[in-house]
Amino acid sequence: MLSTDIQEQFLTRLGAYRDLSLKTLIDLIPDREPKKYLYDLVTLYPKRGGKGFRPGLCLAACNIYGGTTGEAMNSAIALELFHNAFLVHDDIEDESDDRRGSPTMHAAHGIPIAINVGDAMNVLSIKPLMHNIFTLGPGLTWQVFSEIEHMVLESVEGQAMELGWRQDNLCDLKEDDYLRMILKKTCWYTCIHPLRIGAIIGSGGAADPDVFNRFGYYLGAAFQIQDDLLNLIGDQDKYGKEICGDVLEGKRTLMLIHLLNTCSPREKQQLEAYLAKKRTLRTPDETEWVMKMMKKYDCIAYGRRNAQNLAGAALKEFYTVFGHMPDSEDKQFIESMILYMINRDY
Amino acid sequence: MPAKAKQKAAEPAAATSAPEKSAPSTGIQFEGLGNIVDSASKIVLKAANILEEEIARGIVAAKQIEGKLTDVQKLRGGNKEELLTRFRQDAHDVIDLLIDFTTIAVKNVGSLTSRIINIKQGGGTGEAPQAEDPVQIPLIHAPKDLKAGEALEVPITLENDSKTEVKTIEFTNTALLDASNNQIDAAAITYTPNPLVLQPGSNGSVKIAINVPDGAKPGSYTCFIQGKNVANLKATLLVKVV
Repeated sequence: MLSTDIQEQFLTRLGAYRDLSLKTLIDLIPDREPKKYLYDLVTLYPKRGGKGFRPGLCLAACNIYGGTTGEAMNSAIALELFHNAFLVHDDIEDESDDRRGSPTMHAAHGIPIAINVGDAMNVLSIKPLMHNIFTLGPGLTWQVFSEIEHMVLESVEGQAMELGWRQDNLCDLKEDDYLRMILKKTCWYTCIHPLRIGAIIGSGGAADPDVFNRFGYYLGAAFQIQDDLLNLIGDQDKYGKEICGDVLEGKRTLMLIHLLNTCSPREKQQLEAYLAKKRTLRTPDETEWVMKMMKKYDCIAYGRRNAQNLAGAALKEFYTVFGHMPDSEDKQFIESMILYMINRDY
Repeated sequence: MPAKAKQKAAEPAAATSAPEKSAPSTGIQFEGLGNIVDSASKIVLKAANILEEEIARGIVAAKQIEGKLTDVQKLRGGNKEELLTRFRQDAHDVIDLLIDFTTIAVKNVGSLTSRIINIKQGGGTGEAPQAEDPVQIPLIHAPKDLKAGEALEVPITLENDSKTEVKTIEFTNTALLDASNNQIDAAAITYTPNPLVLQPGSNGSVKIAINVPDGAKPGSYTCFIQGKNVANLKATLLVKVV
């Protein structure tokens, strides 16, 4: 557990970075029509109080490596815009109903509008990256841009893997498959690239960004498993999404993969039949049965244990990467994030 | 960019002993985590391997782009003394080892390769530190396509350019993967001799044996080869199974 003081300091800093990047992001949105069907909606998700991990990591890394918050802000808000674009499209692809405690974009405004808003967010994220040329110069601007290019490509490849698994109802997946998928879908863009980009900017290109790969992967993987755990057992009011939504969506989480690999052949057959159905045809009784199976086979404990192991490994990597850096609030912020990732309840 | 990035050669966290800094300066309490940091964890080791594999794949992809955009032969002929780890084309001219130092010309192509690899001089005794210039990871092409069940040996010459240090290189590799996630077990690659001992300033050869197992699916497979105890020795092996 994080001590209360440390946790409060962490949340305060996270909130400060989030608010600062949100303000800059809002200033970037064109003040023109069509507002009702586009520009007003672009800020809908960011304004709902996302946690702001990505800009927070990017800005903190920049400061640790000698830069300023302002220097990394363009890149931080580009990360946040890409993230929110992913979320809008992700919610459509997953047929999710809730996001951050309110109806998803497509649930509230329809799928066509939501797709277009997601597209707009992707396009709008290019602008701050272009603005980097004025503050960072051409070399760093290009370097950051190439980081983003890799980040987006990895994310869509990871998403394709996961969607494909569901579409083809793959039920013979292993832990390795899951780890590879979340590396691509989550970790590059949630942790690894925000850190890499922040350090590149802060150091003026002198830092070796590869040192963050392993740390960011472990941190992102712990985050994703915890997120999936919260979806199974969390408090919906805090978590903001429907509990067991992942089961209803047939999402191949680590816990579901564990269940598929440990249950009896007969149970597996029943589970495969459940997963083969369309989401709307999965009954509450069936979903409850899946949850019972997860309890029977200790899937929650298994997921929690693995999230903790990965967080422990992230902590070790943190000391390797940041151990020699001078102590600072930003260094403490990143260190605190590791434990927050697996202790959070939203 | 990490399509071209590489992971540092450090062992995975869970496979190592205690953190370099055993207690955080920030007062975080480690309830439930203290033992985890030091304990070997299967999932962490798996994650470390997957990261290596994905990065190695990215390197191959970057090479392919580079190949389309640059005249590699033209880029050769630079100061090869600057290369810190050397995989050489063998006498039969069958292996294309792209370890040429990245030059301005490459950067002009669009920085595609400018940060691909950082093979750096390991802390040699008494030798001047080398500039941290970017160097490319060598890409070893299997000289011919293989079918399932076939085997092939690829001879590689290595040069120890240290004037004082004996290098003992123990080779290891990841599993071979293709773009469709088909996998060939890491044990399909073996090395003779292993380890390879190189006296200061001398050359030595290692034969990389590729044994494609029966039932292997067609595809372009890659794996990441590295020296276990030589941090800056890394290469990507490309094998086409038809």
